[in-house]
Amino acid sequence: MLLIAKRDFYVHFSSFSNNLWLFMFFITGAVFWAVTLGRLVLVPNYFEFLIVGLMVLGVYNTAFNYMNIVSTEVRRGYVKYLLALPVSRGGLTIGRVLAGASEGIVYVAILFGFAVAMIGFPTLVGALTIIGTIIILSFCLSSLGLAIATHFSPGVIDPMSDALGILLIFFSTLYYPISLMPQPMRLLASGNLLSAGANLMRAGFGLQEASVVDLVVLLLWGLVFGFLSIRGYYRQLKELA
Amino acid sequence: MIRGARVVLARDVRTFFTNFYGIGFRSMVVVLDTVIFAFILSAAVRPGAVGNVTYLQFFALGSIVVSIFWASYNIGRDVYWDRESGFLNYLMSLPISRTEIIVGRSLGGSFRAILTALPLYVLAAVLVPTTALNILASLGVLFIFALGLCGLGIIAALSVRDETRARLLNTFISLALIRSSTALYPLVAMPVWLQVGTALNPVTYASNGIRSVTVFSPQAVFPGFDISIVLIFAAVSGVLGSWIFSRMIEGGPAD
Repeated sequence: MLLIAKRDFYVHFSSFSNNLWLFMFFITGAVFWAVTLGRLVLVPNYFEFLIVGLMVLGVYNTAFNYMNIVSTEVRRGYVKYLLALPVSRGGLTIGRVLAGASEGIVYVAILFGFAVAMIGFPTLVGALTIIGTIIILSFCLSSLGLAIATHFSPGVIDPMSDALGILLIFFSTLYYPISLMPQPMRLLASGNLLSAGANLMRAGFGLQEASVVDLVVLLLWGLVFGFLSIRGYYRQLKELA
Repeated sequence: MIRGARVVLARDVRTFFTNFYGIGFRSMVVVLDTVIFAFILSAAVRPGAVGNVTYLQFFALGSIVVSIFWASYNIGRDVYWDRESGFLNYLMSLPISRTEIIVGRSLGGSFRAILTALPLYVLAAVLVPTTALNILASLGVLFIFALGLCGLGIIAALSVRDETRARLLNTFISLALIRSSTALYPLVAMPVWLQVGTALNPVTYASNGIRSVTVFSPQAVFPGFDISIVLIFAAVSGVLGSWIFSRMIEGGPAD
């Protein structure tokens, strides 16, 4: 399990261009976009609000897009070799989810440093809240990506993940507070795992109150997606038999 | 001359639309950016920060420029791939002059961009007061701007040989130019240091020009300065891009 996680982790960070791209996306977002919008809108602390939203987007871009690696393996049939290894299906799945999650965590650790420089140091409890949220969110998103990659045919994966990505990002509190949203949108945003992650991280930075509901939402999605990703890998095994 | 350029242009437009899903998705994201992101934020924008229009209207017109940017700038990536795959050698073996190839590719990139932006014009027409004449004038300005972006894309793609570096350079140029311009937010909201950078950015002048030309107003003033900058940008980057491209296909050091 750790061998699988280690392998995937090294492969991800060996691609310098991908990592620099993600980092540039965040830095230009923070330096140009968040600074200007923070001065444009009347929402209090909007700059800090958006910086945390961009951090969550960073987790999303790494952990959720881990799906692309798995779907490529499924398409090329390379997954057969992995399934032939003397590792249980559960172990293989958890290894892969851990790899996706750790990629998200390592990447966000860099962004976290930047956010601290912009927003200020959180308290000890706040820091623990942020770290815990990043871990759970990364796990949720990498298992969601894995569930999609193993449940759907290669032709459907790209449109499906793009559509889901749009829904998750636009109907969340990454870019705008829930108070500005129209009523029907608020309902979707409050059950959205990205909103829950962003809200908890903002609470960690002391920008808003922490909510148990957000934690429950995040944990529930983690359970659902974790189950679906393991089920997807078992399905792959059945198809190969 | 015209026939050869037309053949290259037609091929570029055709290959662009073979990836219908990619184009459709990108357009959908830009539309959603306007319909959801800008709509929600417009309720919280400081009064008068975006002049006589609402932030939603401001953003809708700026997002057309962003869409044009992505579509036309990507011609550089295609030129890079053609060189990598060896397709450029086939193109050069055709009875078409080098100039025809260069003109055809730049025109192809600009046509792609205009075609991609058409659905966004429908949205803009719903959101801002405009007329058919305003839209035609704005399409003209965008076409010239797109020609400049094609040149810039070709310069960036052919300045580096390594694919990783080419991708990084493209990403950096795109993000920096779009995000440090007035395409998505007004100048007054920017910090002073960013305002300096914005004044040197051609995307700013294209965005300002498009807003002035597209919105119908009886007291409208022709944005001569903005359009002049767009013209200069198109001429400089177009000529420079063509020169680098012609050096490459004539066996210069960029090969």
